[in-house]
Amino acid sequence: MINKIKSKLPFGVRKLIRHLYPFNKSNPYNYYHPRFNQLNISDYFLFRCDNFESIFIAENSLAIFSAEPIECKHLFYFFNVSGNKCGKFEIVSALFHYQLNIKTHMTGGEKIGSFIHQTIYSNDLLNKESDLKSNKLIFQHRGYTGYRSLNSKHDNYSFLHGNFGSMYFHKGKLLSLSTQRAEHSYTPQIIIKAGKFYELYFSNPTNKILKISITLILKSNKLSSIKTLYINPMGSYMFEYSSNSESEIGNISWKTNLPVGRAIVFENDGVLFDIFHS
Amino acid sequence: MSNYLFLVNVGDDIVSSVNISKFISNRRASSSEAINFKLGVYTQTKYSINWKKLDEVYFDGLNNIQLKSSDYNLEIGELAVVIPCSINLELKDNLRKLPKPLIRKVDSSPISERAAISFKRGGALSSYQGDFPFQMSTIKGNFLSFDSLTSNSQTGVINKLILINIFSQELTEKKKYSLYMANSITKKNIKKQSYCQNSAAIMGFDCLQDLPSVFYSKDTLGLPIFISYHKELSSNLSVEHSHPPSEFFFGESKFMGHQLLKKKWLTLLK
Repeated sequence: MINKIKSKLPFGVRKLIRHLYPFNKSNPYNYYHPRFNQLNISDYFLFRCDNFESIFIAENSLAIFSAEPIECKHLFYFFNVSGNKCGKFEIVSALFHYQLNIKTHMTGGEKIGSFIHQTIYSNDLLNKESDLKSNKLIFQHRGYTGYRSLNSKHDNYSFLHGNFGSMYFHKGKLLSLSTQRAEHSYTPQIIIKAGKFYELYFSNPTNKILKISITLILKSNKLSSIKTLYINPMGSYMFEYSSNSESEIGNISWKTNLPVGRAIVFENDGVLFDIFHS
Repeated sequence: MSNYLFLVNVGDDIVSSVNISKFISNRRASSSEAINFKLGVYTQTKYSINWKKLDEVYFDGLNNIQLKSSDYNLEIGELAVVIPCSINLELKDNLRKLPKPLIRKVDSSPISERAAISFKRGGALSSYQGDFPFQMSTIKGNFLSFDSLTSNSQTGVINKLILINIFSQELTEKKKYSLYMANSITKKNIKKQSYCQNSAAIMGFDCLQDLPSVFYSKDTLGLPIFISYHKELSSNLSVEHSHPPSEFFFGESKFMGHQLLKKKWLTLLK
């Protein structure tokens, strides 16, 4: 019944209602969406230059949309774990995909942090596509990061697609459409195994400090609170966990005010690693 | 929205698995934390239009269920569709149409109802949180994906595209379909792989940095998973699915952008 009523409402009214209390408790975005020339939105990606090599597959959105190679200026803005800008790198390429090998000279020497991807095209090229010119279509970068252990015997990157963020860079500032709402609990469908070493990478794509409370759900169904952490706006945090106790094998869960509070998980056994979005 | 999960035999001694917990993936802190359900496991063999029940699995007091492709004697390319169901639903041994999966959401929190889908080869394991949306299983559709996940071009690395296709509605006949790999500049086809409905098309391919490529099928939609590994057994495994074309666009423009992009490419690809 509610869905039937909803479907009869004009889109603008539906959008407004979704952003009003109490309907907005799980809405991950702000109501206000900017409309300026060449607006493009990016996920908030992770770079690791510590024990890993990182690459990023940047999509040339207009070329892909037009089904032909088109010159694109790719811009990559890097941020440290405190949320401060630490580097920028730009390159021009007409390829459908550009592979960026992330090096510390691009990240201001930082070994771990986050980055976004932005693109700029000549207005002449964009004007050929009327839906882009009128801002009816907005490009989104959800590209892929690849990680390879520095100790790896064989050359093989493990890939991860973009997670969440809705960030953009405008007038020298990193901005985001993400917002914090009601408290949510996120429980990935994984089992924490004894003898493995876990690194969970959390990022805060909002302009408020983010609190994260991490809990282990033991086999016995007992809850064990293992960490509460606070992340600066646009910052990030690498949480490490390992246990050799069989009784602690269980699920892991965390509470945040992000409606999409996913993390990137590295599961290491000392030789090989697995990486996935929670 | 509700979702199927799947096991698949992709060959090369790679075992796929599904790990699913009774805990809700994403919920408001005030909502209930778990849901009780069971899993039905069905397969449709190459020449059949019927779904055959392979298993019916309960949590039995545990918080997680793990299923493995190696437990079901699947042929290469054969799928076992894993269906979260209500405890009371009767799962018949043979079906013409798959039951709709149980909705495992308890409020309006975003994110699909997923499971950990993993692939294991030797000691190497690679996972992602995945699903196959029920809505996708009700339409025939078409498929387009780019080569974003094909950067492992080093000597000795084996790359495969696994295209998972599930059609939950009744079939009257089993047809053969084609998956193509094409040069994305010239739009000329490089490779073709046949597959049938309710199976996984498995296409091995070489990654050449100077040869940008695109994968497509005009016959059915599908969920693309890219797997890379070195032929040496001690190498790690990379498994990831590529985004659907709608993810190139933000917000309200997703649907329109998706349609325009697919139309352009599928018109040019012959």
